[in-house]
Amino acid sequence: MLFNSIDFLVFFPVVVLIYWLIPKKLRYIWLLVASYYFYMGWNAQYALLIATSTGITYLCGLGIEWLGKKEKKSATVGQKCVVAAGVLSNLGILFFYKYFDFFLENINLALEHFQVKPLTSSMEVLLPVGISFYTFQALGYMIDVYRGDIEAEKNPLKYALFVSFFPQLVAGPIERSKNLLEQIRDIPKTKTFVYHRIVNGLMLMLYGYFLKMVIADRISIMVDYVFAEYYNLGTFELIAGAVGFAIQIYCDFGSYTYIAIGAAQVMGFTLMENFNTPYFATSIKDFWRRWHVSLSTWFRDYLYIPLGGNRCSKIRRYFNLMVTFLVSGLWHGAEWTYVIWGGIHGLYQVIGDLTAPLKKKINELFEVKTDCVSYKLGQMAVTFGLTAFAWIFFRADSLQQALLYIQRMAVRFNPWVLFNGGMYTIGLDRYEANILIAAVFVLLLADIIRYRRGERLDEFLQQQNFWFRWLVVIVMIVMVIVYGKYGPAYDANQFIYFQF
Amino acid sequence: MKKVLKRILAVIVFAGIALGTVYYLNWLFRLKSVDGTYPAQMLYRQEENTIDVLCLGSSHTYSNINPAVLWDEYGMASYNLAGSNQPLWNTYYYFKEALKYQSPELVVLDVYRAVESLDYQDDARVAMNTFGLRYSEDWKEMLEVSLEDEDSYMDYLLRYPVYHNRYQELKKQDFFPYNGDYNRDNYKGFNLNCISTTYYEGFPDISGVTDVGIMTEKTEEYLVKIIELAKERDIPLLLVSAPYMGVLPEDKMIYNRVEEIAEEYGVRFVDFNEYYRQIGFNPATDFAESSHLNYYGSEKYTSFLGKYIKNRYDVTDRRGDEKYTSWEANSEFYRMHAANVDLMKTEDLEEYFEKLFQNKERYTICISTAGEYLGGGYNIRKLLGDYGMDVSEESLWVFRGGELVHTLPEEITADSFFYEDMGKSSLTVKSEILYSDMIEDYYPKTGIYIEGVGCDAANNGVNIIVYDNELQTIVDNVGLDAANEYSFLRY
Repeated sequence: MLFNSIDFLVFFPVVVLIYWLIPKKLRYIWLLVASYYFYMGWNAQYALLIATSTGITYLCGLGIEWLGKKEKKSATVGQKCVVAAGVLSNLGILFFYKYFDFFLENINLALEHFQVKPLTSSMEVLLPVGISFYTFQALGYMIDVYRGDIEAEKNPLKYALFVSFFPQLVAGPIERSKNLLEQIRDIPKTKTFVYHRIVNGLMLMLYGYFLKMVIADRISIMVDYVFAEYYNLGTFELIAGAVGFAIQIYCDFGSYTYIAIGAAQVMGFTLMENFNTPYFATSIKDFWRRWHVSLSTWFRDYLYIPLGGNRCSKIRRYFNLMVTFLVSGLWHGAEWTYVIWGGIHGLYQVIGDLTAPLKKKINELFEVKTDCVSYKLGQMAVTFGLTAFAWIFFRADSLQQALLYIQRMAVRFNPWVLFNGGMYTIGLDRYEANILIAAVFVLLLADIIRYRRGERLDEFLQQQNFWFRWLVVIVMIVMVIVYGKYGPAYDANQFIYFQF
Repeated sequence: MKKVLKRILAVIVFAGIALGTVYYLNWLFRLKSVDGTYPAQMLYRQEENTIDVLCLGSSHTYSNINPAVLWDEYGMASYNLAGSNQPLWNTYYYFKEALKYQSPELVVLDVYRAVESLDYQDDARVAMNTFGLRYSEDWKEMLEVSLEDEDSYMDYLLRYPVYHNRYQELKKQDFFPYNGDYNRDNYKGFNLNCISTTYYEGFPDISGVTDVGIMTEKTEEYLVKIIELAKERDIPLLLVSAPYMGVLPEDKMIYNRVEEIAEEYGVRFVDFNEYYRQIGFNPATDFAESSHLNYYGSEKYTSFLGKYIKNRYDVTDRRGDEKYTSWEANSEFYRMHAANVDLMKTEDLEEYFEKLFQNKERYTICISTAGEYLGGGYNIRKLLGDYGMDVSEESLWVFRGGELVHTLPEEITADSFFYEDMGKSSLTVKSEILYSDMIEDYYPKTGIYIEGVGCDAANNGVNIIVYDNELQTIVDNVGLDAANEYSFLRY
């Protein structure tokens, strides 16, 4: 079930109330039941799939530990085999459900080139929600056990809860076993009622709903329009579309994280941070320290560093970087556009690294001050521009669309739309655009507070006087229930014809 | 302990504020359309067990059956509980709901929607024809039979998600109780239809149609349910079809089927499409358009219907009964409202002034001359003079409650400002001496405004704006155009 559905608004309070009421020893079972129910809201059959992945990695975990104890050496062949089997089987499931069609499509393209009859598949594979997230989480656990960072979990239900914990099941943050599994083990030790923890959790959830329903789902109307009609639009509408998508995906994804963290917090769990003012990044490298942190650190810990990371030759390092980002692109979706998006981010960093000495020389030559606000703002603007540009590939339906989009953005210069009201004809009228601007302003304020003071909105509000906190929360509630996008597609204009 | 109590208190107060806010937003955004939800919402404001004649149906009920006429002529306490294009499955539940609060002596059902060809209406109409009623098991049942798309059931059950994005279409009346309607609790479900732009010659003749049509299963099922419910509660039921110009032979065939069912169950059915002449309709003036009567027509139809009811059913004459003052008040409101509409529709100069000053006690009347106001082929000087306005002395007159309270001289030589608070609206008369670069001279400029609405329809002629002090609304804003024989220009 989706966070912004009526189902969840009923589900969550019920789950939490029962969670609080039952004995602490039984709580993890209740959460497991709730998590599976939550997941089966999409499709009951998915439960089998997640259970299979859970089963495999659970047994692998136990196996690795058992083999390790037996041999007492750092990493035995047996352990390596078990890890390999676990990784391959899980990636196999992921591959089958997520990439099989994509794979077949590309094989066929190649076969076509050699004039061979294309392969066909009789299977209709539906992509199970969240499979990339929980597969990575389970793999991370297994590798952690292998590395000896954590003890294998003996209780299969507790482990199953770790993989399926409903707040972060379908869209992260991708948790580390050290963090979440430990907390699941510690459930009996966690205090049930901690006033500020609960209030802050609820405020964070509210902020998440605000980002999703007021900003993301509103700006998406404009973005969808621009990406559908790009061949009729010019530079400024297309820039608005790309920037709009940058905001949309941040709010969409960020909101999910906030709701997840908030919901978990209400129940006494602390999930890892996932977004830390990513658009205030001063370089692409910095961006990836702030954007979808749980995934980028996952790639860092389980792919980039095992590949050799930074501790190798420059060329090898660039290769590692490119591999990591191409795989990261592919993780986001089985399309070439995602791979290219990943590739662009890899390239940005390689180029950034290669040109760093040149940049330094230029700065010295022109006596550019690099420790002032304006320089930093400039860096932020350039970084944002680069990420927004890359998002075009992420959002586009095809490579051809992305390239045409960029081409038109470059050559169809139409500054008049900034003056003749043209910007209000691309999906959002003046009224809707004003709501959006006001809401994005709130987001900007919250991010500035986060950036400058290192406090999340809930933490910041907790330090203010109650009347201010209440005012902000009430205004946010009103914004969500009035200006949030939800309910049946309802055309109020229909009523004009209803007079008689 | 003190801390815990403080926190509990904070949670309670905060929840109160939050819920209050949500409650207000729901009140603000909910549908209040007079052609759908409002008559249902207002049912609950009627004193219990006072409605004697409950009129159900579609717009053919709320536009055509005039409770003021039933009251004035027969002392019948009637209420129109109807909705635009309301299918009979909604009407059934409206009826059931009404019986929880009222015990009518007669139920009149207009069967126009027996012609419904669909089993489900579009979602917006579902909202219009269900959201007026309170939550109950019956209501949920009604929603289930009304809504085709099961996926949006939860949204409709909660209601608010369906209309929350009305924020772009909120109007002034949304912010006031009773939609800002002067009639308030005295409202009896009538929707005054003032259209009379469609002129007809003669009447449709469907008397020769004897074939029997087929109703959809669903519609017939609910027609029977309505009849059975009335029988079960022992309430006489009268089925009617109000007259309308667009009646088709296919419609008549359906009415023939209704008649069969009526006979089978022993209830009366009258198709008033067969009584145009007996009712005394004038095809040129009494019809709004092809589907409805205007209020002139409604008066005639209701008078005829009332007589029919009086001759055949026992409906108590409640005139003089203190419990029924709201019906008297509704009649009074209707008379005022109808007189206002009548004035607004008048296009004969002398008749207009006669009607205008007939109600001078109730009105604020602002009249001013503009530009070349003389010479429109009529002695306007004399007409104004007859009502106490001397154009050789003055150029602007404000009458409040029949008294002349403000004038401006014929030759304006100084700035002046007149302001009067009239309750919901204000009246401002402002005159200024301005300089024009074009004519290189000073010139006077006069403005009359009722809460921002200007009175300047004619550049050359006489401008009039009329405000009803009682109903607190602008009645008319008209310019008599001197260039066109003082023809009526209206915004």
